[in-house]
Amino acid sequence: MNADSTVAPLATPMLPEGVPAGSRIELLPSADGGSHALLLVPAGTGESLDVVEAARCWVAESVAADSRGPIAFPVLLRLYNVELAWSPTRSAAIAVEERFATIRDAVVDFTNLEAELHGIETGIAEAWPNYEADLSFAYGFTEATLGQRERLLGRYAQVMSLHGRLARLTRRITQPAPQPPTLAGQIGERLRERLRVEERDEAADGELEVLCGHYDACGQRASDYTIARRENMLSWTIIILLVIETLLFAADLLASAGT
Amino acid sequence: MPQHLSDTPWDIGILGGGPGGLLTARMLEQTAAVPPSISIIEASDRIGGKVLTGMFNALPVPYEAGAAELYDYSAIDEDPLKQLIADLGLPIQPLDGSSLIHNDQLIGNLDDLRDSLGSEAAAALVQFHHRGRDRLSPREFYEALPVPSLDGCEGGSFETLLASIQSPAARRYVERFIHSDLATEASRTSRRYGLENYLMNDPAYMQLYCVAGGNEQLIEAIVSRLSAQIERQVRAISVGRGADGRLTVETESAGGRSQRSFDAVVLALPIEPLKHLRFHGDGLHTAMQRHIAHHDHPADYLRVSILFDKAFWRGRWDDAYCMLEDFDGCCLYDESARDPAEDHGVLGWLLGGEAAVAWSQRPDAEIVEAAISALPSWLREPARHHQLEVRVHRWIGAVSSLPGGWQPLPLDRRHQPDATDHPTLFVVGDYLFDSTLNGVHDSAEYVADWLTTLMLDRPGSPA
Ligand SMILES: Cc1cc2nc3c(=O)[nH]c(=O)nc-3n(C[C@H](O)[C@H](O)[C@H](O)COP(=O)(O)OP(=O)(O)OC[C@H]3O[C@@H](n4cnc5c(N)ncnc54)[C@H](O)[C@@H]3O)c2cc1C
Repeated sequence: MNADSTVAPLATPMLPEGVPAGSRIELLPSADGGSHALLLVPAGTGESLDVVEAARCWVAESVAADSRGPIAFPVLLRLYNVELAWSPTRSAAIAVEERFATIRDAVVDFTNLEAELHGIETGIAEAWPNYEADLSFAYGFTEATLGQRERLLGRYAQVMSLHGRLARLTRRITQPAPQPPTLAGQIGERLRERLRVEERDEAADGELEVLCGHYDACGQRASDYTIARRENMLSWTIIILLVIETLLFAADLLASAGT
Repeated sequence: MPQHLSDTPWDIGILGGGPGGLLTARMLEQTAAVPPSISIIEASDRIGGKVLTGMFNALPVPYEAGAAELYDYSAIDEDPLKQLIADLGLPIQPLDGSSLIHNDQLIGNLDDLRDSLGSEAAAALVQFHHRGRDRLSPREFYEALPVPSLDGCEGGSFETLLASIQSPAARRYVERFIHSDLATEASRTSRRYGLENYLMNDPAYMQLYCVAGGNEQLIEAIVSRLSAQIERQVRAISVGRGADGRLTVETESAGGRSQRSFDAVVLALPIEPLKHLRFHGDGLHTAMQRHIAHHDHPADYLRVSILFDKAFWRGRWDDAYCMLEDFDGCCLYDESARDPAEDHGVLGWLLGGEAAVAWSQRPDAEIVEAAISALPSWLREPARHHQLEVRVHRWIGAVSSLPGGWQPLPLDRRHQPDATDHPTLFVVGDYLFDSTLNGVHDSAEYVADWLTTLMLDRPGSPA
C-alpha cells in the first residue's frame, strides 16, 4: 500500500478467542504487495460486549507498529448495524453476513487510500532534512558546488513525484460520498473523518509546495550559473581569439615592414 | 411621509423580540452611519420567540423546545447566519443522522433499505434522488432561483412529485423521512418545498448543526450586544399613523395602554400575531390583510422532550437524530448528543402536521406514552425505566407551509406591504422565505439594509 516500501505478505493470523462460530479472517491484497488482515464476525441478535472487545483487541495487537501522529489505533466506528475496528494492518467488522462483501471492498479501498497518503507523508518527512541541507542552493551556485546539480535534480524529481501522487490522491479524497448514502460510502467517509485524511492531504500539499518551490529555485539558480559560466567562457574565448588575431596581425605588419 | 429633517437619530420601533426582531436591531445598529434609537417591544416575558432552550427541573439539563437545528450552506456559498454565530464566538456542534427506523430496524443507508424494503424500493429511491438533484441543483436551492417545473401554478403539491415514485414502499419512506421537517402534509406543500426538505439530507445541499449547549445562546449573545431598549410584557395591539405623520403603535402592558410614535416600524411577528394586530386607516388595513392572506399557510409542530438518567440508546443508535415511522413520520433527536460532556440522556420527538394537531389536543401523559410507543421495541422498555422528567410544547399554527401553486412576492413587496402610503412600515419574518432561522436572517438583513439606505438619505429623524 505504501508505494515507497514493499511489505511482505502476512501469514493469516489466528482467529482470536471469544468470536463466534462463522467468524473468519481474510487477507486482503494491498497495492504494495503486502496484505491487510480483516476479521469478519457474523452479527447475531444483540452483540455481547465480549465479542466487540475480542475483535477490538485483535486489531489492537497489530497497532504497535502503526503510527499516524496523534491518531490512536484502532479507530472504532459504530455505523448502522455495523461495528468496525480499523488499523493500517488489521481491521475487524461485526455485521450480518450479507454485508461482508461491501465492508471488505470499503476497507480495501480506504486502507489503500490511507496507505498511499501515509507513504507520501513519509516521503515528505524524509525530504525535509535534505531541504535544510540544500537551502543555500536556492541562492546560488559556485564552481565547487556545481557538481551537486545531479543530486538536486534527483531530489526535485522525488518531490515532484510525491506531488503528482498527492494530486491524484486528492481527487479520490475530495470525491463526495454517494447519495443516497450507501454503507460503503459511510464507512469511507467516517474513516476519512477519523483519520483526518482531508487535513493531512492539505498539510502534505502545503509542504510539497514548499519543497517543490525550493528545488525549482535551485534548478533555476543552477541553470543561471551554467549559463553565466558559459557566457563567461565564450567572452574569454572571444577575447583570446581577438588577442591572437591582433598578435598575428602585428606580426604580419612587422614582417611586411621588414621586407 | 414625514418631511422635516432634524438632528436626532431615527426612532425605530421593532414589534416582536424573536430572532427576526433581534437580528434586525443588530444589523441596524451595526450598519447605520448614525445609530438609530431602537425600541424592541415584546409581548411575552422572554426574548427569543421560537428559539427556546428549555431546562428540566429535575436536573439542569438543556433541551430544545423550539428551533433545534441550523442549516449550514457554507459548502455552497456564504452562510451569513453561521458567520454571525462564529462572530459571536459561539461553539457549534454538527448534527448527523440519515436513518429511519422501520419495523424495529435502523435503515441507515441504501444497503439497509434494500434489505428492509426490497431492491425495487432502493432503485426507486435512487431514481427519485437523482431526478430531484437534476430538478433542483444546490445553487438553485441556495439562491432560491426559479425552477419552472417546481414553482408556481404548474408546480402543484409535493404529493404530485411523490406520486412519481413507482415503489409504494420508497414513496412512504420519503414521505415519513421529511414529514416533521415540512410540519404539514405533502398535499399541503409545494413541490419545491417538499423537494428542498428531501434534498437537504444530501450534504451537497446543506449540513445541520446547532449551537453547543443550546440554540438560545444565540439569542443571549445578540441581546447582550444590543443597545436597543427592550421592553418585555408589552403587547403591540395596533399600528397606524399619527397627525404628525409618524407611525404610531398602541401597546398594552400591566401598566395599561399607551401609544408611541416612531419614524419607522418593523413588524417582526409571525402571521398568527399579525392577524390580531389592528391597522388604522383603510389603505393600511387593506394592504395588511392582503399581505396576511398571501402568507397565511399555518403549519404545526408538537415537541415532546424526555430526560433520562442515562443515554441508554448509545451503542445501538449513536446519531444526533433519526426518523420514526409513527405520527406519519416524526423526528427523534438525541438532544444529549448536542453536548458531548452530558452524562444524562434527553430524547426529543418532533411531530409535525396533522399528527401534531391531533395529538396536541390530548393530555401530556397520553402524548408521552404515544411517543415512547413510537420507539423501536429495543428502546421502549429502557425508556420507561430510565425516565426522569417530561416536557411537552405545543406549536400549533406556529410555523408556515408553502402550498403548491403559491408564488412568492418580489422581495420589496414582501417586506413593505403598503409602499405608497406607509413606506417606513416593514415586515420581517421567516414565513417570507422558508420558515427557518436562515430565512428570518435574510429577511432581517433585507429590511435593515433598506432602512439603512433611507437613514443615509435623510440622516436626522424625519420628524
Ligand atoms: C417546534 C419548532 C421547531 C423549529 N425548528 C427549526 C429548525 O430546526 N431550524 C430553523 O431554522 N427553524 C426552526 N423553526 C422556526 C424558527 O423557530 C423560526 O424561523 C424563528 O423563530 C422565526 O423568528 P421570528 O422572530 O420571525 O418569530 P418568533 O420566533 O415567533 O418571534 C416572534 C416574537 O414576537 C412576539 N410577539 C407576538 N405577538 C406580539 C405582539 N403583539 N407584540 C409584541 N410581541 C409579540 C412573540 O412573543 C415572539 O417573541 C422551528 C419552529 C418551531 C416552532
